Amino acid sequence: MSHSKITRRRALQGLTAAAAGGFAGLSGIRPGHAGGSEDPRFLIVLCASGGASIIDGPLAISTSEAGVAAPTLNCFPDVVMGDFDPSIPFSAVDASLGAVGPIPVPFTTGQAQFINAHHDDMLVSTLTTTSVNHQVAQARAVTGNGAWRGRTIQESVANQYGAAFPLPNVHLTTGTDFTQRGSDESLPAWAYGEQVANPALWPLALDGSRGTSHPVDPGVLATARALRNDVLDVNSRFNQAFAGSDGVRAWTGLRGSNQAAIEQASLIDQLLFVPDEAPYNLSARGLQPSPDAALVRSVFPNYDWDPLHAQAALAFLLIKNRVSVTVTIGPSFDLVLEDGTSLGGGGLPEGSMANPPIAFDFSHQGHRSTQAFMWSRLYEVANGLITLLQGEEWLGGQSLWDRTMIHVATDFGRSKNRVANAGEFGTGHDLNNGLLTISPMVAGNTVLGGRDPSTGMTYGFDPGTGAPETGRNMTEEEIFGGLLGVMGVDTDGETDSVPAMEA
Amino acid sequence: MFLDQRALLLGLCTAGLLACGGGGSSSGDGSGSTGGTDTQTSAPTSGPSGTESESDTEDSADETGDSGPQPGEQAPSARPRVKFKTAERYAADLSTALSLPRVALCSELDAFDCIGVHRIALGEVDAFGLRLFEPLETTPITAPIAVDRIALSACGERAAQDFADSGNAASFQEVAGGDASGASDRDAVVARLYRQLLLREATDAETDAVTSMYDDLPESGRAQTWAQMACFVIATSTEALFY
Repeated sequence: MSHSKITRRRALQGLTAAAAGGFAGLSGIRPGHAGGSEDPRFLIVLCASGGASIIDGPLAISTSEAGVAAPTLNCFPDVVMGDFDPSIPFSAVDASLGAVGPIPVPFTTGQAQFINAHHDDMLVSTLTTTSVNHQVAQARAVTGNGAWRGRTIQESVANQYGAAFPLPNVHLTTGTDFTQRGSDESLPAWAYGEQVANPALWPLALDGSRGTSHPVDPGVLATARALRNDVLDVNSRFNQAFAGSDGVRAWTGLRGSNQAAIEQASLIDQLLFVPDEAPYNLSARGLQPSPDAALVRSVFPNYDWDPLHAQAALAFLLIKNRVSVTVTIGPSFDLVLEDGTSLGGGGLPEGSMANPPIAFDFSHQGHRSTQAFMWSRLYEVANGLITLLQGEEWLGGQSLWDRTMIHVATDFGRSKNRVANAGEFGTGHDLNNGLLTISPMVAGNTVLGGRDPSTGMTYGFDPGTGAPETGRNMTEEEIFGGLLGVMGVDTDGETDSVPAMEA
Repeated sequence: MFLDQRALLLGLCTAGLLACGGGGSSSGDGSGSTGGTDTQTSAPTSGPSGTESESDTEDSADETGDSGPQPGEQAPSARPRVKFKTAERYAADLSTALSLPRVALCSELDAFDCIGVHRIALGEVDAFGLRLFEPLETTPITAPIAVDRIALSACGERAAQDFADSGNAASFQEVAGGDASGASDRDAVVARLYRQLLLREATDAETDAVTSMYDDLPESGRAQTWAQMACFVIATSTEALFY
């Protein structure tokens, strides 16, 4: 029997070529948008699942503003409204409440603090959507109701800037249609979202050997992979019969240089944010936390039990380490309690609940407390991300934050009325709403359009000048085009930018 | 036609002429395997994962008296509709093939079940935990790496156990004493691995290729490393991952 050879040299040559190219090498096989990757902008989609009502957040209405409509309108006692400089067009609810709907967990909101810190980067654009079905509305929120051949805003940004990035578009939240794949099949495969199910442990899947119970030398692994990929698989009768299947083609396409490039970039060293202690014990398996792990854990300390904190921690590291140009995060529809929280009588301790069931949609059970709780939750996570990104230099005195946009995507608004003078009440879904976008790249400290304090309904604006137009409603297509304009995405004229939204 | 050899092999298994499946003294105690068990017990009418497919039936119909094409002569399927095994099915098959309990296959950081950690990337759903009601539409780029981690761990564990107790080796008995310098010993191991992992005989070319990998490995611990990696290349082949 003659023994053919896959030599170490041959295997390592392939590995070295991939390593030398790194992701610049990948860019050579990724025909992304011309020139985009050299000057990227970053997008964080913060999903407010269930319906974040703009008039419970930055456009909250006080009782005195509402006037005679106050008793039956969703408005707030003047005493809980944040006290701002008159030049700030936003409002905030700072209140201490004893429960979230029927869940007896006390909490205190601090929305004014966020607005005082970030109003110069905050833009509210009013919007009237087209569906009050969660799934449909979420999909339309990220596609602008199919404005650009059905591609999502994440895919659009990934296609524009992500060609040289290992994983341009990463979805860290699950269970919503904000992360659905768009319907434009013409995009390159890498522009579609890479789903991450477990942010804390997902980085382990970025290396085929390191950290396993029986690791091998990289050269040994390369030798074996070369034998498998180049000899056994290609010559097997199975492959000869079924290589044309979609599944096998996709699988073999993911192996090889793409896989080697990811491993050679040592992403596993950059993205593990958990500590080197039980239950993770990284060093026992030859691993170590990211150099930024302690920093992100200090900003998102509940990473171990609050999925949103874990998502945000990894989201920052993905952007900071130039792995992704867009990440999608958001609270889930699940009740999230701190580990060990007792469900006995007497209510839950303050801070023990991170997320109510069905997130913003828990407004059906208790609108005021749910919206206050969830808006504060979004602000807290956004503030953490902004703080981290501001601390990372890009080039020429710019920080990463200067090139990043956080867009709070939501399904729709909520109904505007309440039972007369009720402090807590339930609401339904309402098409009329507005959106919060935070970035140095947007027209900051700005409300485009406005809201009628006697009805709670928002109205639109002139896309060019930004002048309010009380008889106009902004469409999903218009806002989608405006957001892509802020991100500098070239749409070849398929959507219209909204100059009033841009800085 | 690719299935001809397997059908023949499975027929021999039924007749007790070949050592199939677990291949050793253990039969996967405590594995909890379902797919692997199906593979053995329902072999005459099932694919590698115990799932009957249309192509199985069609291919079986014309095999009588036909030894089939020689290796390298397989015609492409006109309807190549193979399916990815997904994490749980793959784990069950690996557990049975390597005679390892399901829980011993692989753990991340000695604390988290590998299959659980990578299950979404490998085609599973999680309706109650993550509200993922359908498998991901596209295969994540991390999926092949996750499979490599699982197989590397499982094969490494099988090798570690066999080399620690060579008298009861389940997969690597000819080399488990620590000497794999004999090509015929390695050939025997490769033949067994193909039976255990792919439920068919290895071709001469396949045996030759996997056996030869030994010469390309570092000298330190070469026998056990070769055993682990011989298992790895077969367990992560597309044939092992699709059905």
